[in-house]
Amino acid sequence: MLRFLFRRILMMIPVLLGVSFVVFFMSYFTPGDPAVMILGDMATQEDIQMMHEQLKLDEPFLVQYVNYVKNIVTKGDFGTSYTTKQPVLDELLVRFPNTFKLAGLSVILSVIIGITVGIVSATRQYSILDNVATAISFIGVSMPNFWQGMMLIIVFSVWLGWLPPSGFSTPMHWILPAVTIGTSSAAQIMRMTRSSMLEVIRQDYIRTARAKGQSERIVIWRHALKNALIPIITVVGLSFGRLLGGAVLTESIFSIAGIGKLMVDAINMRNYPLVQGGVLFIAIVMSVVNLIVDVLYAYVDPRIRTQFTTNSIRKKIRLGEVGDE
Amino acid sequence: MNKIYKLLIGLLVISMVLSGCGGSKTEAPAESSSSSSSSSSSSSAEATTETTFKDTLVIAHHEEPATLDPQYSNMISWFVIEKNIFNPLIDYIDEKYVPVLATSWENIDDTHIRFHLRDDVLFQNGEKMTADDVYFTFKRALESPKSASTFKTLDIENTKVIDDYTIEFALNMPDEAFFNSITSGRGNIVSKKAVEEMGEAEFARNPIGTGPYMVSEWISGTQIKLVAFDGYFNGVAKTPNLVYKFIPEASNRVIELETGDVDVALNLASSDIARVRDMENADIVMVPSYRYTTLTMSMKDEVLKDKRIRQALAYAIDKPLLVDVIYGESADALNGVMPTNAIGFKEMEPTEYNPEKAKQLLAEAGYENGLILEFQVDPGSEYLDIAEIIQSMWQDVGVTANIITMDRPSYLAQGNEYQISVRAGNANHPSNILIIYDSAFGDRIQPNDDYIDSALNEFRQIYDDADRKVVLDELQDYLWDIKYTIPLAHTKTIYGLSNNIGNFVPDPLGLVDWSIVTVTE
Repeated sequence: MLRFLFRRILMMIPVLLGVSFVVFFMSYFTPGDPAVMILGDMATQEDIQMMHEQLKLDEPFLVQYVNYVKNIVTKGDFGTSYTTKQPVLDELLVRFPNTFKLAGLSVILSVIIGITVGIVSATRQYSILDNVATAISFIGVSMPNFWQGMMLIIVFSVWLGWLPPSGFSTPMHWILPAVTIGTSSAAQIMRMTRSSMLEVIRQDYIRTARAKGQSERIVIWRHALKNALIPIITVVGLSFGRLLGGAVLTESIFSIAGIGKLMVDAINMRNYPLVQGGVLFIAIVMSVVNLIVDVLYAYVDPRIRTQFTTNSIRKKIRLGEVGDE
Repeated sequence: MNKIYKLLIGLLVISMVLSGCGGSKTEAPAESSSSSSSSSSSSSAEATTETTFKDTLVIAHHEEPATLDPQYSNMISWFVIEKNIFNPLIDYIDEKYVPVLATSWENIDDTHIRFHLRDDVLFQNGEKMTADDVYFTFKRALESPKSASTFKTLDIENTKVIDDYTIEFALNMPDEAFFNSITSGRGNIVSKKAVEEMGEAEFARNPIGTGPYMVSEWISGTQIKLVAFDGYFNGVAKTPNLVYKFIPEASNRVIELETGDVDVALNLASSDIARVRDMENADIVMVPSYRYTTLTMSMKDEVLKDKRIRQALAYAIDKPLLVDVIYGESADALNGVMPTNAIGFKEMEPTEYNPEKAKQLLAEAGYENGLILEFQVDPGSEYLDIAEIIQSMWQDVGVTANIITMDRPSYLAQGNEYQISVRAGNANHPSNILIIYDSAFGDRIQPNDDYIDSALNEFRQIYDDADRKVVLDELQDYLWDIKYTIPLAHTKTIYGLSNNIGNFVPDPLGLVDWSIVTVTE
């Protein structure tokens, strides 16, 4: 297992190098001069030239790229934001906790709702309960987040006055944004749980479990859900990763200082160091999430786990010296 | 079979770790904002006067500044905050220049202006403000790409500090506009010692000025909290704490005003006016801004070089209707080449809406069968709405406008040449407004008109108001007639104010001095 982890972490290095090169390449050759963007149309040629020198925009592409990677590897320096002159890493780290919290809360909420409702739907297929859950989940999936967010604000902040309309500082502030995102991904998880469970429930071993007199609760939660978990974990992992890259619309509506809005603003302003740093940062986060998902696969599915065992153990197993666990 | 439990426990642990570390990292902002709100609610107990004043004024602002360093600022929304941290030497109020950090000033000759400074001004770090700080401020303004062109006539080499409270500016040429440049936020005086000690990057976040408030806490992307500076030369601010919350959506700023989470909402949209008026706890205050929208035409373009075409395009626009549809009551149709409250504005005879005349002019120019033009609009603001309405108005006279929504740097980088564009300007001095007609200015118009270039150069050199008006009036008449641009609208600045705000003096740009404002419970 450790060896697997080590290998996976090593594999992140070429991925991140690739990502950094592609982003750097794209932003370098994207039309539009950051100096023109920052200074506006009142700027004179001299102003723009002065800005170019201060931002070191005149250096050739490869020199800029090599310096960039060198600074990251040797100093952990992701560059300085063109607009605020603050270190890119600081800008990202200030906002990441908010994004992380929002993503985490939303995913927890969606997992709780999605899996529970999904199981109920699957075990009572075509019942009224199932149909209602399916209908609600379709509404959840197709309702745009920004609209849902606005509706929640109007109801819970303006009409009822229970929750603050924007910001993200106290637990009271967390509820509306987390519900906004959580419900839409809950619908997705619920659909996935339902279909995956339905497939498993028809398997012979479920019939066997029931035939041997196992209680229905144990049949569903232990025998069925466990085997249905792989696709669910995939969906949860993907949506968690996606949310860690920032939920721009939700962040804007609730005025949350998160990664998403930061990145969109940076792209609009041609704030390349921040764009590059941000994409790289999201790539790292995404890789880590994928790694966690893979580890969870192994926990859930022994077949996958055996792929990680080392050759020596495999040999011992073959020789009958140790059993699997 | 207990692996499933292990899994569930694992998931639980992971989720707890996730939520746990998320929580611990953001404890600081959570505490700070709850303390600010609790302090505002507890203030009633602390206040001892008959009318209880709140100790915190919360303002919903649409944009977080990238910096609070005045010489490195170029957005009105940043100056809105800097206004309360810094002071300029002089200000422009009620159509005249008034002293702020300077007590008086005199022209020694055409290119030398001497300012006498107040001797009782402290910076927020406790240091006294002297002529050295003033010199330092203007020196660094010339080193900043965001300020250098504003002070292009300043000759810093020959500018002299006479004594601690006297400075003599030297100019490259006579320049009446220099006074206006000083009043722009870029002329806000910074503490030399603070900049040198902190360095630029740190100063941008924790600036030291002479103003009524100083930065106490800046939570990126969320809010900036200012506290009153008790050594402020003009009397300590009425409200001890000033909080700028960053809320990008205009409709959310209105909601915060309605729920009472903020006392003031800045920069509201015209579509929100009716809603705020309907509220019981708040109202709208609207004043003419210095912002104006103008349709620009490129003189490098062969078709648009023909004055008849430009006249036809102007006749084909129903300006009052356009302005009414886009802005409602939050803007007026602009009949002149500058916003109506600009220094030296001259009102012009409105161009009538006359499609027939437009068609006739187009036919004379050889385009009786129609004409196709490229109309570039920057994303955001009201530009696209304006372009679409004009597009349909022009369609009626046989002119097809192809709208291209692309920001200026991309548009230019793709090798495009401007034909038609819409531009919003934000200035009150003719030297900053009419600069768009200068040959040296950007790409949108490029008239290369010798008369304009010399008039632009001439009027700013005249210190006498009456003499300057002659040149300026003539220039405005010429620009109105030649139609390199079609001025469209002069917008208003819309404030949403809760009813507990007192002593509020609106500013055209939103640069409100909050130190004199009171907030009652």
